[in-house]
Amino acid sequence: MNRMPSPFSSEDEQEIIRLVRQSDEEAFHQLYLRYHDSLYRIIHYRCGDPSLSEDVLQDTFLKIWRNRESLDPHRSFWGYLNTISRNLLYDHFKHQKVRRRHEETADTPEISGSNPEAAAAGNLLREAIHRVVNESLAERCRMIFLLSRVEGYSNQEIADRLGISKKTVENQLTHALKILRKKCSKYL
Amino acid sequence: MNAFFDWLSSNHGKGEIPPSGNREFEEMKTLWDASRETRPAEIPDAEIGWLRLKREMAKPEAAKRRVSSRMSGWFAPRPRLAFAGICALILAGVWIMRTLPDTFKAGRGEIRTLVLPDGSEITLNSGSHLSVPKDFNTTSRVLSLKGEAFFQVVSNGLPFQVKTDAASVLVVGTQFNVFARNGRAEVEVTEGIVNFRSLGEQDSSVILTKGQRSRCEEHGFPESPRSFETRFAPGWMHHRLIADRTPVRDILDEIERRFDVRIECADQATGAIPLSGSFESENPDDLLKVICLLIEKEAVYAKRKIIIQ
Repeated sequence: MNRMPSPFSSEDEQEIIRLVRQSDEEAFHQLYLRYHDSLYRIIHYRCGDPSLSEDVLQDTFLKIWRNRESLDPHRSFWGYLNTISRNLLYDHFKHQKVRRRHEETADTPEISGSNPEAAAAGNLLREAIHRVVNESLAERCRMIFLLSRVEGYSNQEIADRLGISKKTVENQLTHALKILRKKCSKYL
Repeated sequence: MNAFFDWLSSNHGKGEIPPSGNREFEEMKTLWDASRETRPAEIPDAEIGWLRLKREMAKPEAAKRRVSSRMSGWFAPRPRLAFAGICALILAGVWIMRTLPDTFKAGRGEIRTLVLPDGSEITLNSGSHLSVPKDFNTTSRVLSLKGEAFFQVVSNGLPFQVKTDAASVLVVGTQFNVFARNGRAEVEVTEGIVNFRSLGEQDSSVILTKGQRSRCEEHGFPESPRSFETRFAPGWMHHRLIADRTPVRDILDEIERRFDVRIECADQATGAIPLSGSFESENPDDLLKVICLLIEKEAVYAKRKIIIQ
């Protein structure tokens, strides 16, 4: 599980991003390998669809490559990835919905955010958590929560990666837990 | 110091001491443990993914509707050639054409995301236009907007300015939503600080910080900042419709744009009723039902349009 792209020195990453900006494909390859698994799991957590997750992941990296000159080595690359993948996923559902309206074929599941595996296992609490995380947390809060609970990073690691303080991470996580507690009270 | 995490790392949290009587923390710990994903999704092979991606990277960009850093693709090659020919004849025209801005448009029922050359990301709501001058990001970053858009601005030292008919919004690096329709401008700030300035003779400005919104009518002053709930902001990006003393007609206009439907009011006076609230907007039917309930009207579905009466 802890296939974390080991100690993430931010200088090292800044250098990689500088190279990517200069169209260095090998540097981009490194960046892709580093983030591939994490990003896949997070997109999958959001949409629950393996093939869609794979497409969104590829499109995210493609978009970054095509806009590589605009990468900012001083900003958190993880945040950038997260924003772009979220928007792509959002666009996908938006277009799908518009298309569906035109075709008048309703009843296909909406971006449910529920986890079929958890549901099958009869784990109602886990399923409720899944839903609340996807639907009720603010974007930044959700990203931090997923880095902690899906990716298994420690609070300090998350703080380092996003360039924020550990206290902010803890506050965001506490905030998430409070929302979860309110919304999942039925299962507690 | 964070109370929950201190508690969690203490002996109470580890369960070494019998329940401490702090029910809130006990429950939060249950959630903390249950939310840990123990069975991560099966992950496709990264190297295979990379090979696929490399193929895509090699393809020319034109195939996909994206905004490159040069933002070309406005004209297909041949018309562009013809166009250049005409321009050569009208020498004066050349200069004008070169300075014409690029325009991006999200049609009805459509939402569009663009990445500008400076890395800032802009999401256009349905029925909106954004003009980006050719010299964007050289000495300044000035855009004009008709409609509504959410901006995630990358700070790079150059000020970033959004102009609308009624007002202008000046920022450094931040996230905010701009609504610019019917001679009104409205700004909601979800991150950072924004300077919101009216245009025209009434030149005055307000400073908005995170969680504040203001609006400005054409030829008017910006209202003093009011706070708003940032969790679902902007509403249109969270499948919500958020109204703050908004006339019913403006709300119906927004539903028309988002869902590409036509809605008429049988009685013109209905359109002027101000409404406030945050409504789920997954589909136009439920949304209309709630709005009709509030204004005590009924939505009648006619052929190709909906009539509020």
